[in-house]
Amino acid sequence: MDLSEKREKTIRICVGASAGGHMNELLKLLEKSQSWPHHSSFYVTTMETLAGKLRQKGLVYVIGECNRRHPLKTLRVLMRSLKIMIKEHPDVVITTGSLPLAMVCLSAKLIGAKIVWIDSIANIERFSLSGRMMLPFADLFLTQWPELAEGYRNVEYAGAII
Amino acid sequence: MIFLTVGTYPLPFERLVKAVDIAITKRLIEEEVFAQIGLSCYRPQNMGYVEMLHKEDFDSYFQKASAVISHAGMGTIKMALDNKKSLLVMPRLQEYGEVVNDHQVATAKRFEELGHILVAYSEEELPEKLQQLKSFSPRPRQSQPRAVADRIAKFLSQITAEKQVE
Repeated sequence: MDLSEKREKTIRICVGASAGGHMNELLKLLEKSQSWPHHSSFYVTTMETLAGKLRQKGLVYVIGECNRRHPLKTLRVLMRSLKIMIKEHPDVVITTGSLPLAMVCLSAKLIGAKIVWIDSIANIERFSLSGRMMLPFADLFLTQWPELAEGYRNVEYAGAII
Repeated sequence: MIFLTVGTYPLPFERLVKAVDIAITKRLIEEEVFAQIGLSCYRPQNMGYVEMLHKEDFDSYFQKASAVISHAGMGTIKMALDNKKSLLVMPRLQEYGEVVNDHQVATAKRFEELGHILVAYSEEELPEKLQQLKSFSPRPRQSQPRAVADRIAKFLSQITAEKQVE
């Protein structure tokens, strides 16, 4: 492999968020981000109505909504996520949550991808439930409240998106 | 015009709608009020209202309003911060079946401490807070989306380097 080819070799990034506040945070982050995502990145969200905005950026998968009160729906989202991860084989997943995207992260972890979890600004006193679920799996766990990063070795505060 | 919204949360929040309606009759609010009342069964007597607005109409009312009164939802708080609007919130409470847990109280408290919003924790506190709303100027929020994006970029360059070693 010559040098130019080596420089071309980029990682495959999966970027995702649930509809609503989580997506607002992700879009704000993408607005300010310079080096990522890039042309070979793909996107995951939970509702078709939101997919339009992301389709301008690249390939979008819609996995549907789920929450902790509906384990069957959650399982379905997990299966869909797993299929997508096997097909797309990302090197890393970057997400602002919530539970459906935690299912994406779990699936991604199974195929060896790294996980960047940004816990939502809405979680002020403690991490979200899906955030707590992701704590042992995340390779980079960011909180938007400095107080919450205290006492965790693998949690960082790098600033607030909102 | 003051814009009242209970957000898009799938549970009613009648306490707030009712309290604002009563405040108008007591002349605690002099401006015209328009409301998005959500699933509330209570029908306001003293203000224009709809159950739900389309996003574009919601945005337009939000922009035009001199101040906003709402539940303590993160979406509304974010919008007020982005648009530098004076915002008075009343947190939804679990005990009245308005929400599944009391996270809105924590949200309201934190953003109140930071000087970004005013909070009425109950209907009783609303008159006093409505008075404060008239002269309230919210502290602008300093956020660091660029710093967060850069931290992630640094992590990505690490794993890119690892991949190239493989």
